[in-house]
Amino acid sequence: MKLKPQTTVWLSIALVTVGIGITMATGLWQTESNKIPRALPTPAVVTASDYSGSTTVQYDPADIRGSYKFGEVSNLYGIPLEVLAQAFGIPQDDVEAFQVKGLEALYPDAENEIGTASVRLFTACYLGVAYSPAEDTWLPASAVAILKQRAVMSADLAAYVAAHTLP
Amino acid sequence: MEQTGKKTRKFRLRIQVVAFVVVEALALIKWLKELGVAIPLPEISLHAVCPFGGVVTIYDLLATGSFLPKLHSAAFILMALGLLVALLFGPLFCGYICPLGSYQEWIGKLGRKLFPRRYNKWVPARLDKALGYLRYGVLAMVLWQTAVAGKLVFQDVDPYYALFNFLTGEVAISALVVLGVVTVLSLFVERPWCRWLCPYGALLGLFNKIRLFPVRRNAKTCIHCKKCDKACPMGIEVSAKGAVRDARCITCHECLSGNACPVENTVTISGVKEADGK
Repeated sequence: MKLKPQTTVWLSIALVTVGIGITMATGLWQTESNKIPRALPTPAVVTASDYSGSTTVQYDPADIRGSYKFGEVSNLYGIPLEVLAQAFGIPQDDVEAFQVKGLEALYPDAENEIGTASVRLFTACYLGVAYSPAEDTWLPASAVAILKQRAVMSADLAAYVAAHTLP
Repeated sequence: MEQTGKKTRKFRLRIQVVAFVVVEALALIKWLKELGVAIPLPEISLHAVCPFGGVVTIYDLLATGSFLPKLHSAAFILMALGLLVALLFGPLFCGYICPLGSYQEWIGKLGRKLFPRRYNKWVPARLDKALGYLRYGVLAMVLWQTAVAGKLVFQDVDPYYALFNFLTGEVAISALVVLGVVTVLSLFVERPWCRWLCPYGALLGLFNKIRLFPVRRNAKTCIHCKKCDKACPMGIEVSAKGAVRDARCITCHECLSGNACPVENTVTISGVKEADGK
């Protein structure tokens, strides 16, 4: 069977369109995060309620994405918004809608980057869950002060944080 | 025949332009929305609809059950559909859809005007073929590094990402440098990124080996004018083959009867059940 080039292209477009249509109809097609992080495999220190508030789950700080807003981090991980605002120097009025990836723009002149990895580290230390920080993850001094006061992080993480505090 | 060729080329150009505009529009909408401009259109990141994202997230999906940061199920679904299309008709994505491929091709048209005799002949054929294997090294390295790092490491050197996101300020200098080098090289060589370095093209190209509808040459009617060889942007010697099973083929259809081949029904797309015509 010989096929014209146009036929192969139209057949391909039809195949892809039908495939996308079926996955959309079945709810499989997603182009943005559902904002539900991975659950921790073992019981964590803290439980957070999900959006509906009807069930409790324990989420992995390592799964915080740059697209999350601080309001979502607060909801999912049970950290008060004012604590997050104070830790990362975000104005109280803006903190709920502030995206985690926006920290890079908030600290443009920092010698060491403050970003999504910093929020993951802070969350893990705040909750007292085991965590392996990505290479060279830094925290603002304000965040470290909160963590020291709370004092639930492991000795290893405490040492790491002490060595990775922005002046 | 000439009319058919013009029609086919125009058809491909239209598809390329539409694909380029759609990708550019997605990038612009996202950028403008991040600047706070109200646009009544959905915001979709390029990562979300990049089929290569589906490839690099396979390890994470198997190991942790979730996609890499910035990736979603859409990328994985598009990867699966892209592979299915490649199994049927070869890497049509490369020849018709990929905006970076089209970009290089359009820069190459300027190169053809600047160096009408030397264009695409600067690199000896054997060296060109050897360099083509670099793509598999890049593919293996990207998969490995992504699995180790758990994030999109390729983004920092990806000229595709740089081409459409340079306005956002999120593009690494290294990616802009790669894009610049690819742009300059495109003036001398047809699709340098595709032929030597593209990891997604490397994967899709492998489907040329098993595609159900390959490009075939009928040796009985072939007049050995080698016009198909000259037309092939990837330097494949179509005139020496019964069926084009070369992994470098990007399925641009330039070699077909009606395009480069002057003899009707000699270089065609046909199913596996027909004889190769050798």
